[in-house]
Amino acid sequence: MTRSLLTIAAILAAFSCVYTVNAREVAVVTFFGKPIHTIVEPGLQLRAPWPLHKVIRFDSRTQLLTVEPTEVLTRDKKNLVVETFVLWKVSDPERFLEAVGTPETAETQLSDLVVSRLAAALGGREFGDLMADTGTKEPMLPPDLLPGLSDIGKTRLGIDVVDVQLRHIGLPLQNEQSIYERMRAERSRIAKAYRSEGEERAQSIRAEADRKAAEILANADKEAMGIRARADGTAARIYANAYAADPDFYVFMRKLQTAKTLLEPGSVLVVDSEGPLFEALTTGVE
Amino acid sequence: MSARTWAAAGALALATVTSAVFVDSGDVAVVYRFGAIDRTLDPGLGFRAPWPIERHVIVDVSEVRRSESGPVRMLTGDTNLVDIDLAIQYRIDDPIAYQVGLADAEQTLLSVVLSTTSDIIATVGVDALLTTGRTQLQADAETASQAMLDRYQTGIAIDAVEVRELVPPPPVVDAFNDVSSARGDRETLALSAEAYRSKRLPEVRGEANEMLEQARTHAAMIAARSSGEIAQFTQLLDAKREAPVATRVQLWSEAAEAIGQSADVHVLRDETEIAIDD
Repeated sequence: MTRSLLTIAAILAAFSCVYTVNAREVAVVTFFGKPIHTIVEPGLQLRAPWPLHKVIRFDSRTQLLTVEPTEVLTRDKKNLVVETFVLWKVSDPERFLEAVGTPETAETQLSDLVVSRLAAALGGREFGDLMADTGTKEPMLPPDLLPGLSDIGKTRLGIDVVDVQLRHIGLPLQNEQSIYERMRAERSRIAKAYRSEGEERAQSIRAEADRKAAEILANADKEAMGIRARADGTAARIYANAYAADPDFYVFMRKLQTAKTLLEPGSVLVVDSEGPLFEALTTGVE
Repeated sequence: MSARTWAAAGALALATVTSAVFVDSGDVAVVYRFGAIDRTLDPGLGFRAPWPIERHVIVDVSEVRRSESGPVRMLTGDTNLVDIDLAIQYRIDDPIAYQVGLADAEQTLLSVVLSTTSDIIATVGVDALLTTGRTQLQADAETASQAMLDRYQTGIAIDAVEVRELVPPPPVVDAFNDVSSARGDRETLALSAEAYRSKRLPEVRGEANEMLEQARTHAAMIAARSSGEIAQFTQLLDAKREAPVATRVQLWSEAAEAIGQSADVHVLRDETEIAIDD
């Protein structure tokens, strides 16, 4: 019985002297509160039983810190609301434990650092340089931001700052209104341009059609006049030839013809009875 | 058999059962040995040492996961505002990296995609973005986001960054709509002018043809009449040459009779009218 108890006690003692640090953690071992040993490689480790040694573990995975949206002012006095995120992880658990203790404290310190450095950096830049619709622009975040944070993280906080990036960039609400005004003005200008362009095109198409129409009519008129003139000319020549053959007879024929043509049915003809027409009647047959 | 043998057999059976790992297809088991990642087990039956030596975590590497940004207002390169809504489809392609990589994979992924997207949008004008930029934006955001994730060794592979919505903000939506209707008006105006043209020109061609036809008809009539008259004249001229006076008298009488038949003839003598008709 005694032997069994001893065995159990020995097993318990053995367990309390062994611990593991898994791949998602780093740990620091303290001796009465004083850090004596850090473990950054996962595996089986030995320790003195509590309360001599205490193992404090930290998550070693990359942490996401979303920095609160911050309003900053560019050099040309434009307000921007920038939202950044920082990726960081505990790299030196002993320093981390002494300097900050908890991830929350670390994140508060990182946030403050990012906000103050970003405000300082953007305060020296022109808003126009940060935006570009041509495909090339300055990077929004200053290039020395990450190295600066990394350095402070490593030397002062015991963390590795993996990256810092802009998550979102926007404008304060009151500035959005003025952007909307401008956008609306710009849209209305574009819409007007489209419509007047349409009118211009329509007008030139109509004018061209009218010009072509006038041209066609003028050409036809010219050609028709030519046809008539040629026909009249030919006829005149024919009549002239006839006249030349016997002018006297031609004139006589022509007069008769004209008289017949003028005196249509229903015309009134007044004839003198003394005239040559009735000469034969009045003078008898002498 | 003694009790001790039974106990040993039982312990062995228990060890075997707790050592067996069934991995479903599409999953991978990551085996930790004393906390350190030792190996992965592919789908099927696998074994690991019993706890506390080894333990395992099942990771689904085939499931396509989906994360959505919700509507976000972003600044374009020409300082316009657009509302964008993104959906990201992604998979875990490296279970070991995924196990130790990110504390909050989904939120980190979302931050990365929002970051690359707003960076790209800040280089494009609003017109290009809203008309043709969508596809390019999706492709560019995917490439840039994946590069960032790889740099962080997250074990995540993005299948697609999908732009679910990309629109002007509600306060200016009507202004943007008016631009598209103006673009339509431009076409309509040109089309109606073209319709006028295609109606006007055939009409005028018809008119022109009519004018020419009339001229030709006139010409034909003149030609017919003159040649008819001349043929007649030539014949009468022949007759006149044979019998000059008789022909003249004959012609004169014919004409007078013809006139008398059709016209209303009144005869005057000493200023007094003598009606011979009626």
